[in-house]
Amino acid sequence: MRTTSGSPIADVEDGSVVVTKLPGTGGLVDAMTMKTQLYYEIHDPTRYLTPDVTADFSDIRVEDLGDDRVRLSGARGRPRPETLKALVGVDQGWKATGEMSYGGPGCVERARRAEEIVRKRLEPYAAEIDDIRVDLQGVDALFGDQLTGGYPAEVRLRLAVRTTSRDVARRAAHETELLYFGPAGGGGNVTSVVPALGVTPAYVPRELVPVTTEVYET
Amino acid sequence: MRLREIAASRSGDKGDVSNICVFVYDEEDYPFLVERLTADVVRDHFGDLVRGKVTRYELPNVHGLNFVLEEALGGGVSMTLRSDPHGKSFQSLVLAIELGDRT
Repeated sequence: MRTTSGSPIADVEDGSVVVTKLPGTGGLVDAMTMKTQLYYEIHDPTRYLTPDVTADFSDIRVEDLGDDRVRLSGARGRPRPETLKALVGVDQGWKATGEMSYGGPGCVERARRAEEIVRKRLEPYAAEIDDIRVDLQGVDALFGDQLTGGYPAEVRLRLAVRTTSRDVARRAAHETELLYFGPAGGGGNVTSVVPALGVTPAYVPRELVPVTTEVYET
Repeated sequence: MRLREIAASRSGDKGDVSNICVFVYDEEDYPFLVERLTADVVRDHFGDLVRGKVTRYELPNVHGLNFVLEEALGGGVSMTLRSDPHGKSFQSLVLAIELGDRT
């Protein structure tokens, strides 16, 4: 099994592009990999906003040429947006996470009891906690109640808290470590406290952003 | 049959919006996909995970559908406390959708 993949190469012609990779490298360039990669960050395919053009990807032709070569053509464009998108970072305080695993018979019930204990012990700090969440990985961490399976052999409780107080963040993470004292059999505690940086888009008139180009030759 | 038997998918994130594109392996399955995999079906399957609207775009030239799910990521990558902030697992959740039998 190959575990490295060749970097993609785009051979651009007027109105089309052939995507490929170096022969002998791992990975795969075919119609499906090209389609999933092209469309997975697009919303309305007729108007994908970029700084240079409003792209229309609704009518693209994808031709698999074989040997890890795919030609894409048929993209169209309309005038570029009048504003530029800027991402602004906002200080949201701290994010604390803590995890503990439970296995064997009754592991789900013990993890739920651990959740109950942690939530109760964090109640005195409720005024400083902006958001709190507890998941059971192996049960509901990814999809909540939307997908359920059988009883798991093991489960991992994960607490996540966002707070403007660094002390409360540390305490929250530490509460999962204290679960070593019960419910029975909790193991493998891991904790983390990191800054919580919110990111929000802002739209800036182009005239506020001067763009210059310099070419250096040696 | 489950969607994963006839299609591949990929999900991405932009702020609090998740986008999931789905492409059938065999272009002959495209009409069946268009008929069965509606925005309502996706909305029901995702339930409380998505707080906003679900919009479907058809991509007939490439035999695919593109779904845009608003308020789907707990506020977005940098704000959410979810285990999978980017919603990368959403591409797998959509493939679990039961499409029913062909008539």
